[in-house]
Amino acid sequence: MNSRSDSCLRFRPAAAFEVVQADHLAVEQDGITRVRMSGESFLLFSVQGDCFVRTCQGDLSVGANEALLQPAVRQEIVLRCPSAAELYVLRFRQLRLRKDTPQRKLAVPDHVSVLRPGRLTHLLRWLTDEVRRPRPSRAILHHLVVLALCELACSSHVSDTAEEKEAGRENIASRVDAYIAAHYHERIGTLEIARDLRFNPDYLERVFRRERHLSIREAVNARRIKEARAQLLLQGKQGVAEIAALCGYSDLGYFRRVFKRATNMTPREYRIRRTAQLGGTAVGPVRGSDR
Amino acid sequence: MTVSYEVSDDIEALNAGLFVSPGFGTHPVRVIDSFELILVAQGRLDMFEEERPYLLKRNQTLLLSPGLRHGGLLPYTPDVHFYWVHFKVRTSPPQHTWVSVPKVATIRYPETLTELFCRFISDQESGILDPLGAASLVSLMLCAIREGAEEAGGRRGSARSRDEHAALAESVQRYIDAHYPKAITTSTIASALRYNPDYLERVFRARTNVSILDALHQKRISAARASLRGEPERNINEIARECGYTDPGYFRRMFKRLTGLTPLEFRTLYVRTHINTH
Repeated sequence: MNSRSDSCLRFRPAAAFEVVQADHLAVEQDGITRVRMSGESFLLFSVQGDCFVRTCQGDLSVGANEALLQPAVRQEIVLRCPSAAELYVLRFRQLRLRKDTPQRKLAVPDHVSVLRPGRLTHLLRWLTDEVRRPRPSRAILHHLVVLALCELACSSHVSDTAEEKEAGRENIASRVDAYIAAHYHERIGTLEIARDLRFNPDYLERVFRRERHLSIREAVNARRIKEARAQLLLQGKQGVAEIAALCGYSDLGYFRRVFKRATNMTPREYRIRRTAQLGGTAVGPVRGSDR
Repeated sequence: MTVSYEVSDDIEALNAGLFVSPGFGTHPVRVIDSFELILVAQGRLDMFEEERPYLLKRNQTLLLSPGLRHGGLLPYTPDVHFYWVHFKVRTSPPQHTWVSVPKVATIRYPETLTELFCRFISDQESGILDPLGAASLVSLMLCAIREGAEEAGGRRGSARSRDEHAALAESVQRYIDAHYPKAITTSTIASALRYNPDYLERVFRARTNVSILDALHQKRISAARASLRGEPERNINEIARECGYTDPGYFRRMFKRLTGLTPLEFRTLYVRTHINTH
């Protein structure tokens, strides 16, 4: 088997980032590090220890598992790190892309509590190793910077006060509420909601449960059953299966189980009893489909 | 506040997975409109594209082109596992470095490539795979293949002594690859190969830029990474012993020094996988 056969893919990826510095610092003693900047971006990730960063915009504290991103810095950055702190420092430059290159914008929050610190460490570690190789690959460095920025982009912004955090969680939970209200009739679950709202599913589940005291799946079911109850009364002509489908249940058996759990009645019983209570005549054909 | 960057968008990553052989069936014959990259993780895979057969072994990659007919040549062997990813390349005007990816490559150290696949699949399954991040992961896979294949190919050198040095460094590396689980050191390697340890060290360092001991640690830690990723229920101390570290504390220190993570942190990096069997 020849391992050096004809190459079948040749293209030039357009690198948007150039790495100026990538370092891993294990601080032994309290100390001050000065970083001279000349218009490049500065990324600091603290694995351990609270660092103080002085920039032209003021002083900032970067705690463990937090990352700070400062674009296009021209002044000196002063870092004060306690002993036993462990951090990664990355300096990179945004290169001008040619106009005819297909491009996309990447928006990154400037101070985040890193969602998956292990992943970011792994990438920054790779970066620091790559720049120390005899001939570092520009393409690899560029893509590692993109991935590190994506890692920051999927993390949540560090809010300064507890109330802000509280408001942030409430805000996230209401976005989930709104999403469920708009999409309950589609095939949605925690994964789909998290994907469309751009959150980590486990994080979203945790925040939602904390705010609403029920899981996302339960909230989706509650919303669907509420809708089913209304539809069973309003749409007298439609069979239970059709109403189940309208409310996002493709499996009739599952719909009936969830409905019974929520109301202690089967959908058909509910329709008959409630219609009688409301004083109307039993509406619609009573079909054998709901047995 | 957010910071905004402009990033080139020349690869579109579609989806990826790990194929695990059901013990029967053949890869369907088809024409698709995207590239497909395959990395055989275990077993043997016999494919063809148009008229050419590709008989792939473990740690070999195959890059299938869009618009060409490809399929399985023989039924899946019972033990075959392979990673796959589909992607498209948007033709953009040339800029910066060329990436030239061989059709078939033998990857000597597949750990980097495997981890890229795992990262892609894990994020895809969690639903948080950013299109830009996905494109960068695919690009890094292509870079890893180019680099891995370069190492596997013969090195050119005009001077005779250069060739001899290369061959010697190569045999040290082969010795490490074969014996890393045992208690070996630079001096035991030197005596096994019948060379003076200082001379061997010098030649090896000149060729590879690392010491023999560092190369040994790299091999051991890379084997540990594969076990941590592939065998989630195994005890970490046991993995350490299997990779040649009798002292678990020393193993943890070396692992952290080389990867920046503790073995446990590393293990939790890729939790979700996507397995298909047809």
